[in-house]
Parts: sequence; structure tokens; C-alpha cells
Amino acid sequence: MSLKLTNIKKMFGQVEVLHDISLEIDPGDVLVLLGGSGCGKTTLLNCIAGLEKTTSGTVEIMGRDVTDINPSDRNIAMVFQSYALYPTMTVARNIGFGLECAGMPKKERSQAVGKVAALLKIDDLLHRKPSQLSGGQRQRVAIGRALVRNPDIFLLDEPMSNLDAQLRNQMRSELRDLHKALNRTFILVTHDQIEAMSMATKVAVIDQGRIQQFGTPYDIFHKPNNKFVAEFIGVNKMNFLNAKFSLIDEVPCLVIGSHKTSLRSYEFSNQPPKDGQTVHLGLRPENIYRLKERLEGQEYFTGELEVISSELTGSDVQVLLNFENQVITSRFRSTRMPEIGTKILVYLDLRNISLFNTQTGQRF
Amino acid sequence: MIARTGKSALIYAVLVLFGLFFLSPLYVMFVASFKTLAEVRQSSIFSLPQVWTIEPWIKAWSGACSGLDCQGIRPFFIATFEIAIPAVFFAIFLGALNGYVMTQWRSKFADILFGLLLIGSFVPLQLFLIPLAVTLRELDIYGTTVGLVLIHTVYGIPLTTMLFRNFYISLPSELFKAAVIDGAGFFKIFFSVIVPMSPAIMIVAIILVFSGIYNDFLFALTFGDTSKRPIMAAVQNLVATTYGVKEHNTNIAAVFISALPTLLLFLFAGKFFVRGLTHGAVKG
Repeated sequence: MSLKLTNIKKMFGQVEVLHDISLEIDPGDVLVLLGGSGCGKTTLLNCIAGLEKTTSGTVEIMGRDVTDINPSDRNIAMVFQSYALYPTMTVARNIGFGLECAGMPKKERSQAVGKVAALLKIDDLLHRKPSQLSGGQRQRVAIGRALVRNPDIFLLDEPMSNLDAQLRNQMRSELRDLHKALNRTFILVTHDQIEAMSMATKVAVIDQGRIQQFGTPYDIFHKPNNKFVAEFIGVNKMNFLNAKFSLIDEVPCLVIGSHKTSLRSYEFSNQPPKDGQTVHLGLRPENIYRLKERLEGQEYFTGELEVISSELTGSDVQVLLNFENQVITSRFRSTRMPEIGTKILVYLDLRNISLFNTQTGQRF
Repeated sequence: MIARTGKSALIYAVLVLFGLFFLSPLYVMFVASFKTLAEVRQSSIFSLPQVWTIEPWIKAWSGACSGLDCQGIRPFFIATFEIAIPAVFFAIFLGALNGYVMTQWRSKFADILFGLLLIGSFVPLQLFLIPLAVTLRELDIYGTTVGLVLIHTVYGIPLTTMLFRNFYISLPSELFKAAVIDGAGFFKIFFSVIVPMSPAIMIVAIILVFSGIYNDFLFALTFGDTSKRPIMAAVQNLVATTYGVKEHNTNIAAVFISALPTLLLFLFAGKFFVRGLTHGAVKG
């Protein structure tokens, strides 16, 4: 266990911005705090860093209760969204400032700075001021400043949001390499789900100050806990269809209009719905196929569906279809772009679906 | 094209005219300070001196009499700096510290305190005279340099606090958080991170506070040491002498000398002044 949060609560005046947050991660984990703006993810990161005092609850780092300990004594380091480099100091002093504050002698300090600079390939920039650096170089210096302190946990607050798309991809893979080399715990705040999916070993999806789901990126994507997570995750929005759940000879079945199939492969994570109960079927656009061979299981809906709209997005075409008077979104290769008004044969794969309670939005 | 050149020529003509109008008193003073007393009395005020002499300047500096005291304005000039330099230093140091505390170590009282300070800087000076006199008497520093330093420091703090607060509030708070994580304490952050970023605003503060203290007449006259009066009070004494011959040329030279420090300060630091005032208006 490298970080353990227990019932963290944070109030700003009368407003409760974090409600009862608990989670635990292991050393070497990359935890991504994922959520929209204003969801409380940066506040949570500040609470872990000690920059914000928690209203109640405890923070433990490497098994040590640090709830009332100063940020500098928590053995953490932080990379800020704006990098927050000290503008009047050289790169070398920026990196070494933490050591300077800790009272490390000058000689050892410059050795440590040199080592980190060599690792990040910024050793030829050490005498420059931050204003003389490019965005990517500033980012490196900010990481260097964190690295030199040899912390137990790296905290990164939207570290890539100020970089252009190309540089962001590069930094992402460099960060991943760095994580592999150091094998330390990283905690990353982001609103970019691709970043979250590609970097994380654990993701905490946060909304309105609550953890909506905490799990591996795979589970977050394929087994969303509730409709919020299902909608939030995925570049293409998940379809929600009204369906009737029924038990026929103890076998769970799903009925939409004249379509009916068994659901043997579905793993219920909670109490299954009752016989005849209406549920929301969550189906990703990527799980609608035009070829039967692509189906991953025996359970599917199929039919000739009317094309409502057909929109080219590049390599893909986004097609809205009429399925039992419900609109579903699907994506196909753009080489076979269907005409509006025609009917096309499609297969709705029910292998990787989610069933949600229509009232609570919770997964069955 | 011609119409345009004509138009701009007109604009320049008007500007030059206004420039001359505003500079003319300076010109009159300048030429008068190099004339002999006899020539000042006889010639037109605009005419150049027939005989250039720096006698009035020398006399004003080290020989002019106010009353029985004939040592020019030199001692008062020096006395003023003895007051202004420490007062400027303390007012700026404390103002910067105040601004830093108010913006980065946000407490509930920061805004209330700032409001009170602002009110403090708008209250007319005359209201403070009697309380200040009593305070200085109780502290036993009435009529001393230390007393004036104290008064000017205290009176400068609202202005400097306002300047530094408004500047520091534009600094990103992440910078401060980064320093906290790096383990820097209150004064370490102040001296290593905040102060090095402040030279522009410091120059603004120096110009405003220094010229305020230097040009101060009221406090100088009321609380000044009679033998070491600040310059403005001394010049007034010199010029307002009611007996003997009025030496206009010497008086004018004395006024000139007394105006030089602020004039030079603006000339050399004006660039920074504008930069400091507009700092934060443009991201950079």
C-alpha cells in the first residue's frame, strides 16, 4: 500500500466538495483521477499533497498517517499544470530548490541536479531561465524538480494539458518510461480519458466530489458501475436502450420489441433485475457490426435497420439507425458508407454490454 | 498624402506649442539662476543672461542665509536623505511583506485589513497631526530624524501595501504551492521567490514613496529638527526670509537644486515606472 485515503471529506465554507472518499493503491501503481472540470479531482490531489487541509478523514502514505503533516514532509513531489517554475531562477536552481530548502550542501546538490538533468536530457539548459525554454522543456524541468527529491509518490496535476497534441503523445510515452524506470507511485489528474486509459493501472472516476468508480481501466471501460461512468468513458457515447428483462426457465433474457435473446454470458455484479422489469441496455457503438463473423458470442440482436443519418468523420462513418423506434449510434468503416433512408443489415453484439437500473442508474 | 502630412504637421505644431508653454517657467527659472542679482532685477525674464554666472548655485548650495544661519541648503539636503532613505526602505519592505501575506497566506481578515489600509491612505494628513505629535512626544522622538522616519514609514505603508498586493495577486498561486512542496518556509518563499520577481513594482514604489517624502512639507515643518530641517521646509525658510535683500537668483537656484532628485529619479526610472504600472495588464 502506498496511498490510503479513508473517508476524506472537504468543505469550502458550507460547500462540501469532496464526499467521503476512500481508496487504496499499491506501490508502483499509476492512479488517474479522472473527471470533468469542477468535479473535485484537483482538490483531492491537493489534499493528498497537503496543500489543502481535509475537513475529516485520513491520508496515509507508505503506511504513515500524514493527515496533519506539512506537504514538504510527506515525501511527495508535485508537477503543476502551469509547471510553476520559479521565473527568476535558473533551471539548475529550479530543480535544486527543494534540496536547497532541505539544507543540502551545494556540492551534493549540484551533483543531484546534474544526474536528474542528464536523465531528462536537459543538462545543456541548466543555466537558462524558464522564460527561455519551450513548453516541452519547461515540462521536463518541472518533472526534474519532482524527480530530484526522490519521492514516494509523484503527483501530477494535468501535466500535459498545456502541450500540443504531438508533444503530448511524446510526453505520455516518456512519462510511462519514467514510471517503468522508477517504479514509483504516480497520481495523475486529468480530464482526458485517453490519457487515463493509456497511463493508468487504476482509475478513479470522480463526479460531484464522489468516486463514481474505482478500478482498472479495462473495468472502467467494459464494466461501468453506473450510467454516469458509462456515458463519460468512451470517445463515442454509449447507446442506452429501453429493454425488458425476463427470466425464461431461469435463463435471463432480454427483449426489445420483437427482438429477443438469452443473456447467459452477462455477469451480474449486483442483484439481477426481476422478471419483467424494464432496464437500460448500454451498448457501445463499436459493438454494432455489419458482418456476422465479428460477433464475439452467441447472443446478439440482428435486423435490417433504417439509416436515419450517416456522417463521415474520416476513417469512420457515424450512422444513426432506427432499432425498434429507438435511435442507436453506430460506427463503421467509411469505405462502406450507407445512404440515408436505406436499410442495412447489422448485428448488435450483446457480449460486452451493461445493464442499468432505470431509476438509480446503477449497474446490474 | 499631402493632406495627411499637413494634418500631422499641424498636430506637431500644437504639441510643440503646448510643450513650450509648460516648459517656459522652467526656462525662466533656469536662465534666472545664472544671472547676477542686478540683471535679474533689470532684464526681461525671458532674456538670456549677459554674463553667465554659477555664483547663485554655489551660494544656494552652501552660503545662502535663512535667518542668521548661512550654510545654504546643503545640510538640509543631506538631512532629507537621512530621513527618506530609511523610510523608503522600511515602507517598501513592510509593504511587500504585507502584500505577500495578504495574497498568498490568505486569511479571513486580509480583505478587511486591506480595506482599512486603503481608507488610511485617503485620510487627509492634517487629521493626524495632533495624535502624531502626542505619539512622538510619548516616544521621546519629537523633532528628531527618527521621528520623521517613523512617520513617513507608517504613512507610506498603505500605499506600498496596495501596490505590492495588487502586483502579487496576479502571481499564479501554483508558484507558491510549488515552493511549499519544495519545503520553503515563510521567509524563504518571500526572499527567494517573491522578492526577485518584484523589481518593477519596487521601482514604482520607490518613486512614489520617495517623491512623497521628499516633497513633504507639512510633516517636515511640524516635526522636523530645527537645525536639520528637511529640504522643503528649508527652501521655504530661505525663500520666505522677510528681511535683507531678496536674492531671487539664489532662491531660484535653491529651488532648482531641491527639485533635482525627484526630476532625475523620474528621468532615469520612468521607463521602469510605466512598466511596473502596466505589469499584469498583459500576460507575460
